[in-house]
Amino acid sequence: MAESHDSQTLGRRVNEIVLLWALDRRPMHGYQAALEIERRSGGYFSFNHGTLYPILHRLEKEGVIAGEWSDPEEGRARKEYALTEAGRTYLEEISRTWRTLAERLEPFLSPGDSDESVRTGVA
Amino acid sequence: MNRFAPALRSVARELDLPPKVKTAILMEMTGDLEAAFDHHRNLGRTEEEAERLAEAAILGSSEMVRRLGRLHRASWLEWSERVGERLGGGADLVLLLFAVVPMYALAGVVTFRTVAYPSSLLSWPLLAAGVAVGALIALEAGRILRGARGAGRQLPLLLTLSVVAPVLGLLAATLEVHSAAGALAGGVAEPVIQVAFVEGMTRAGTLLLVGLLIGLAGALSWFVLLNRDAVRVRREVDAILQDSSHVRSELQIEGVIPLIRRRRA
Repeated sequence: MAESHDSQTLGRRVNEIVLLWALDRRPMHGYQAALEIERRSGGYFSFNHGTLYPILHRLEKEGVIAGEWSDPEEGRARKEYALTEAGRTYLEEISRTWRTLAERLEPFLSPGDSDESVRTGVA
Repeated sequence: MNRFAPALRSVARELDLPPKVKTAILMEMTGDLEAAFDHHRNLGRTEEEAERLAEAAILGSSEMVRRLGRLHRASWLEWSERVGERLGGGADLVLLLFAVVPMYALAGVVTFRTVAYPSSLLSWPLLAAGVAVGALIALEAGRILRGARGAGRQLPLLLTLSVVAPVLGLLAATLEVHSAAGALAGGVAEPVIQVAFVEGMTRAGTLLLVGLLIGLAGALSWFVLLNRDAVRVRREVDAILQDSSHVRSELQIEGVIPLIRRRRA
């Protein structure tokens, strides 16, 4: 199926892929996941100004991740998110789509190349 | 007192959602705000700086609040929570005691009659659904009223069984009517047919009644317990949001109108 790549979808997919990657490693709280992503990307990706919750809650509603409240007897109850089976499949799918996108984009990222090499994909 | 109470109150005012959903979002934000604050403090930032950075990272803008509002809007659940909110002052418990308990007791009495009919194929699943509904009501009522861990988790199952029970009752009644009609066409002697038909109709009526009673008792209990649970959870957030006295007095000293007004004692 053809995937659309308008700027809004691209931004949303980037947020999704980095969040799902973090939650695939282990179940985490929202802020923990944001910190993990920031650390892994060297500060390139950061979830500021409330972008985190709408994405997390949407993914939870779609069944891609599952939120579970931690035990209130151990301090304040915290909501921890984990990737579901459907989420794992979805992560594989979007990872594949993004690899393809990166491969297809590569020939366009070398400004010195001639038109002919871009057309034929020859570097 | 919670250092983030003023900011959380502002988000709470903007979030136009059913109390339970709103409370869950605020509790999640509170936990993350504290984690973000601790993180920035560990990096050597001052308390004020850590507080500001935590709020910037977690709370965000009005746009975020609007998006969360759109995402969580579920009209039927919202309606039931809002109606439940108006049933304050113990009216819900009166409903539970004077409607649900007699209804469930009547279902129990009629069920014993149903069990006496060996030919009712669906009477056992119906009986199992009735027992499960009763057990869930007792379990959740106990947990919610005590404020115990995991309270409210079984409420969706209670609602599901409350829908399943009348459906089972209806199916069982249809089967009974079908077999009674079969007896009519069977060519048996007339007095025997009459007895079989009347018995079949009685069984059908009984099974349908039991299913409906269990379903009604379960659905009413679900409604009451859902709202009791929402009140319980909301109290936890109220404790966070009503950040007491010393922030309020600081605000008053600076001539700022406090964000919430307390009821006079």
